[in-house]
Amino acid sequence: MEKSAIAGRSSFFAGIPRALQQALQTPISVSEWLPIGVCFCDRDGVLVQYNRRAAELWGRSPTPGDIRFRYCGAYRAYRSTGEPLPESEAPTNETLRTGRAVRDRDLVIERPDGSRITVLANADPLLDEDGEIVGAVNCFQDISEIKRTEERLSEQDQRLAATYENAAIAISEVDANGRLMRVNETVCAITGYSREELLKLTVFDVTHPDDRELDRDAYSSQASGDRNRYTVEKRLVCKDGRVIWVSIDSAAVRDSAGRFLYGIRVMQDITERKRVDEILRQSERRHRQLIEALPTAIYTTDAQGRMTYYNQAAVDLWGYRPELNSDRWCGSWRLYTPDGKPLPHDQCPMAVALKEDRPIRNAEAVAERPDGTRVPFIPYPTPLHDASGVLIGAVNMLVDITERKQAEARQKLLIEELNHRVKNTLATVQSLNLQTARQVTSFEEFCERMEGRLFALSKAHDQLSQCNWEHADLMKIVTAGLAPYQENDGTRITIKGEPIRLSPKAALTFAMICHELTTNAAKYGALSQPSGRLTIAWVSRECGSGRVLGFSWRESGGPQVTPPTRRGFGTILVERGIRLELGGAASLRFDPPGVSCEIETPLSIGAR
Amino acid sequence: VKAHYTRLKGLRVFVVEDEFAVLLLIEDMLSELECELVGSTSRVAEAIRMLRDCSPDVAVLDVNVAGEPVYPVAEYLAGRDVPVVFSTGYGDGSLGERWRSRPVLQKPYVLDQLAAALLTSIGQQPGVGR
Repeated sequence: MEKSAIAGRSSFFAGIPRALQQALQTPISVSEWLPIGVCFCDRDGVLVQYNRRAAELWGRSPTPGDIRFRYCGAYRAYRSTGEPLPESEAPTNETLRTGRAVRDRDLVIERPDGSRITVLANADPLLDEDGEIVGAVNCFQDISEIKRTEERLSEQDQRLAATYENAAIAISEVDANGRLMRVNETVCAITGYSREELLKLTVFDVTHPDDRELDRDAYSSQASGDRNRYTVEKRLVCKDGRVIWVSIDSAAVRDSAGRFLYGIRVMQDITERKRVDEILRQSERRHRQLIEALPTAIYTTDAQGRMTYYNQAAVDLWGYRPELNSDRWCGSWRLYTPDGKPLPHDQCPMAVALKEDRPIRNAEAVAERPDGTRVPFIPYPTPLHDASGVLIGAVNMLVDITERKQAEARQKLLIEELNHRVKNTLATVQSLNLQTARQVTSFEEFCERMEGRLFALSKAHDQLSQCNWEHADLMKIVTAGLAPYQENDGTRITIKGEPIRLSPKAALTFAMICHELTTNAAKYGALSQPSGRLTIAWVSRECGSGRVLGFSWRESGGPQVTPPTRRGFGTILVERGIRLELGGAASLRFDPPGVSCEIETPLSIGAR
Repeated sequence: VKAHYTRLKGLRVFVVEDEFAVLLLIEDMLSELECELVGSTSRVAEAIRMLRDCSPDVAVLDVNVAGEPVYPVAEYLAGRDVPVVFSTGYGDGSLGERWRSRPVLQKPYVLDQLAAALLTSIGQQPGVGR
């Protein structure tokens, strides 16, 4: 315990003017109990009294009245800013000099042990009855703790302010009307406006006109208390006219009663993000359009096989729009294996690809549409993985192979048909062979006759081939074998007739008949001598449900005709062939002036 | 003519064939086998009409006549227990399921093949033939 200055009061007071003594008497006794340091100086600043707390604060007990201790009992004193305190600035000195009170002076006291405390000093002059200054009193209290707290707070404030200023995101404080009250540097940097300019504006002034209402509505509902916080993406118009995209996070600061004080708005420039987003969106749109435009059915599913996308070609193939995120594995109405057995959707190639996490190739299936039509297709299901290799879904391409299947079927049919024709032709040749063999008397004659018949058949085939074996022109069929016998002036043989399309069967029959008649005419008839004439003519007419062809072959001017003693192949062909093959009728006459042949037969293919 | 062909002698045969030359050939073969041609036509409808008035022992039917399958004729004959022999330019297996067991002649064919087919067909039909 420090030795109290009061102890030596009586002796010490002896040299003190009475007025001062009187002034000291009461306060000092009271001051002993005060939690603040109190000290008294005489007119000259000599320390004459102090209380216990003062000694504690000083860390020592100077001897009262010792002239070495003037104005203050501290070992060392400093300004609050840290410089040594000049004696003239000691509060007691000042108050003695000026006669005025010194208030709330921050000082730093250094104790003999080197520790420092901050004190708040208040000094007052002490006056006698006449108002003369007789001394001074200094009350000082330890405010080190307060100081430290203040410093800490101030440091925090500074840090906050620095954070506020230097934050990479823009922060502004906005009043209930949207007026900017405080903005940081980043707000200026983003908008291009100076702080002074901004503080004259509202947040809506810098907002793009098209986005103004959106933000205004949101902010007013925030200011009115309907919502505490909201986020909005909008466009700003910068000072230089540039339009930028920003994201705003607006939070309300309210007092303890819940009244709106101001809004804190954090703003980020998202122009670049928007630009990248737009590029991505465009890219995705392009890809989507591309896939949409592909004539091949394409769809995707998630890892569970649920539909996530399909294009129009897929809808066309399925004849059905499956439900996205619900229908699974395949969008077809029903599925079958290529041999027609029902194929459950969860066993389809896409399901297998997903369940076994592998692409499926060389599969084939048949989709049935709701309308019952079926489409054979080849699927190409391929699993999709994320960057870490986890299965996230699959893409499938369905290639409609209807046409290929039809082509295969057509091909098969074609080969069968070809086989049929070849076999029938060979059977015909076999028959001609036999008929010719019966008719001739020498091998040479056989060869000649057989060759003639084969070539007649062959030429008719040529005519039919030129028209896809669908029809042949009667004129061409008739003239084919006659060319060698026509005179240069074209008077020997007269052919008159409208264009007639003959069916393949009729074409072959007419070709063979004409060949037989021509051969006969050349050998025995009108074409065997220059005076002979041949007139061929035909007309067609309506008859019942179709057309009927009337065909006539008339020879004249040749040698006198004698009916053959034996019915040759030509005769039989005319008389029976027309009836059997074409359902028509024919007559062959061997009248002496010339051979004539009349044929009447239905045309299964009408005249042109 | 081989000895066992005598079984075919006098056999009444009906022919449906739309190729005239082929019909002539069959006629020749049948006459060589001393069979009797009781009728021939190239149309399905006409064949059935003609068969009402004649009762052949066997019929030789071209599978495809004038673009039409000959099966209605085969059906009509089956209803009257008349055996049939098919002839076709199409390959094996082109015959309808119902008629697979019947003898088939692949065009072109020769006398022996026709005779064998006729014998098979009347053999399949007890009580027919002689």
